[in-house]
Amino acid sequence: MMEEGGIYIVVPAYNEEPAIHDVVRDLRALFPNVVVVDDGSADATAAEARRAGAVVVQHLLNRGQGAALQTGIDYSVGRGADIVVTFDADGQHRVEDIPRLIEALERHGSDVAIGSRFLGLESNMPAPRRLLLRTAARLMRVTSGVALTDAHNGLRAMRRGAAERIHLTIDGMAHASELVDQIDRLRLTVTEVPVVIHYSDYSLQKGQSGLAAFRIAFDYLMKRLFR
Amino acid sequence: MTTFQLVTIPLLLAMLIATAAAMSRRRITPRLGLFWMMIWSGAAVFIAFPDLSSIIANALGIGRGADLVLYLSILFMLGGFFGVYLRFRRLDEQLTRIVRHLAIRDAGEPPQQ
Repeated sequence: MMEEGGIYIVVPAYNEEPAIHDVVRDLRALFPNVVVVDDGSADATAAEARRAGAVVVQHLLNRGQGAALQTGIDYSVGRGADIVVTFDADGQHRVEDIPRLIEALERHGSDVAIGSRFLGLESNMPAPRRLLLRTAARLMRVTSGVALTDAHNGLRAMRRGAAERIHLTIDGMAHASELVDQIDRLRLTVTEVPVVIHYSDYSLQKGQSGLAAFRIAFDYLMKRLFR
Repeated sequence: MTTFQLVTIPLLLAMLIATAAAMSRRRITPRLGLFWMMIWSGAAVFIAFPDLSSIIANALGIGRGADLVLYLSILFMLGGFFGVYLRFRRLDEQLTRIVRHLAIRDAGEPPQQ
């Protein structure tokens, strides 16, 4: 039986058949409650995730990563989660970083802990990606009152109280910036935790192209201007 | 009267009548009906009296009446696009809410340890 309450790991996944099994298996070694939100994948993502022991919440249509995250958060809160962790499906995060996020929540009494790839830990990040993400984080510091070094990290932990109040309405990738805005608006406290992102050929190919940044910025600005 | 006027003015009058009929049969809201009736009658007036648009254009510092009409139509279209964009986004949000509701409703029991 999946235990009620406790820590829920939400993994939004779209066409992640090659990676999802191992990601879920590694998560399940430490955390019993792994929720994969299959965002209308065309491949066997859902079956692979189930095989590895996740509960699968399935979008009938592809709605974007922001939408999938919010679905996973709603599901987890509905199951009585005390802490909700978000984790990418492409294998770029390390499971061992999760306990450090949760520890940070407890140590600082924060509502939200967000992973940062820019706090000193080594990684194999390509230089253009580093520049893009640092620029995005700087822009976010200007538009919202929250100072983060890495605003677009998929690895986060939030307490139940925060998870109940956060409502991501941007379906696409701009949800990361929207989350920072909501942390600001809801006056949630946030701690950054150094994490390592492992860039593989697979995660880079699955990830956003540099050009997509314009689309993401557009979605975010339109939401800010006309909500 | 030019051929152009002979063709377009009856056409615009027909649109005016059709809009009024749709309004009285409550196929469209009164607000939308009035908006379109203003568009049709405005177009008919400017076609019937071509000098009128030139007079207004000159008063606004635009050379030709036809240019004024062109600029105004572009403005209207941009406004229309924006309205469609906002509506599209709202539909998107509603669709997501339905998809989310069904996903959570139909999520099976968690697997055994």
